[in-house]
Amino acid sequence: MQNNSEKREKVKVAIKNLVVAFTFVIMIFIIGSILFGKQISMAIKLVKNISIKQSDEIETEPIQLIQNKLASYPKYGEKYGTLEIADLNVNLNLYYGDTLSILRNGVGHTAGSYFPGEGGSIICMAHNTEGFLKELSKIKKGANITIQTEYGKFVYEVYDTKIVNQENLDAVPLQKEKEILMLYTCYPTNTFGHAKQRFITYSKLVECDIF
Amino acid sequence: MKKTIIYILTFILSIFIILLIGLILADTTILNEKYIIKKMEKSNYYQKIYDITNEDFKKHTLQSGFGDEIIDNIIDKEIIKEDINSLVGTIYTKSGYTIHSQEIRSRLETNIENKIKTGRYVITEGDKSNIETFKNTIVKAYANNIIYGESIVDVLKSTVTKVNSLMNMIYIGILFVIIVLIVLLNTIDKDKKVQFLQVALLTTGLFFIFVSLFMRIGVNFDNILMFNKEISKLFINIINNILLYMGLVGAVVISLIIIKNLIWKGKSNG
Repeated sequence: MQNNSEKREKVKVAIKNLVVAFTFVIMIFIIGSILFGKQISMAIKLVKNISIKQSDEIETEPIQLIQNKLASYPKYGEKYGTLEIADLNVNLNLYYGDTLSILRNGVGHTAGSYFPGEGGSIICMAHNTEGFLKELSKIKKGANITIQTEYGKFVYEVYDTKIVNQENLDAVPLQKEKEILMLYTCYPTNTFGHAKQRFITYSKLVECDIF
Repeated sequence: MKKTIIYILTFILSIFIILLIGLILADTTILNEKYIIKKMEKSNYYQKIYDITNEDFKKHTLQSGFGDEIIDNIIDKEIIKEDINSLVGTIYTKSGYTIHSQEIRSRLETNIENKIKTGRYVITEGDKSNIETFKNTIVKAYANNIIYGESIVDVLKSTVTKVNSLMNMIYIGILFVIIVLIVLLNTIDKDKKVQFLQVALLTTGLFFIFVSLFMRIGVNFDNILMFNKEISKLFINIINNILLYMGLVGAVVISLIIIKNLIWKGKSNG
């Protein structure tokens, strides 16, 4: 009997201690949020800002050109076509984006410039090495550059070329009045190290076949 | 009135015990250079930075005209490990750090000279300048993969060394307050001396468990991305480890109280 009442007493005390401890924890959280609430929420916000959302693979829609505008765009880094210069025996994959990683695989299309068929400046570039645009500086005016995509085939005719310093961004202006393909590479081509000039070809759209 | 004072003092005691354990946790993890280095070794961080650095170099080799082989053997895992550890060391002490930029540059120069000799290339003045730019780019790419940013290193260094320099004082201060509170509570309430300590320890245990759970569930650390995937993974690993320790501390403390209650045959007042 005495043992049972002792046990019951112990349990009562233990529960009481737990309740008190719980209350203390809640009080600590309340005091903490009053004193440091701003810093804590800033820290949580910072974590959210530097977290990337893991989402399931999104099914990419087919790219379509509707009234001079693409209905959906390729993902950055994605191959969306090919670029061919028959006169120079060039046939390269064309990617959206122009990071150094992308340029190891083919022609990069500068993000922010227009796409073939959209009626504005299209800025593309590739390396000046064997297998890429090593021979670009030999291109003649009147030569054709063909961009083949899943939504259409676009043929451009070279009307001008320029050699400029790498910092000269005015040489590749972004505009939406006329469809101009500006394709460039490092210059000179038979050089070592990082070339400081660029060889740019300017081509106008002469033929377009929308699928 | 006496009971209220006991509860207030017990509450303050709980806070200081939490602070003490929190400090010990911090001191043995994020404020500890050896812990960080151990974590890097365990997660194979050096190998991953070696791989990333080589990939970064390759982004520049194509346009250099030399090909990928130009970067062969200019870095190795030992150099990367030394440089990263030197940087970590500088964050935890006030010493400066050194990275092997000069050695990498000189290895690259050797590769370039050999390539030019083997290929019997004629190098123009223009080429010399471009090659210099290429070398600077490679060395910079290496430094960026080790350091990420001088300003970040400076901030970490000043924060960690400041905190570490105050640690002893903080420990002494907290222990002093804990001892004073225990003595006070013992004096005020001789009969219930076990209770206040139990409540304080239970509070500590519950606090760490709740904080650990809240941070695991409420704050999504697992998808953090900063600088690159490898440093993000290392950071996430460290955070998860600390949260695990917090949860364990909480569980151990509560378990000890429960076990003590089960075997204690002493008098307990309500």
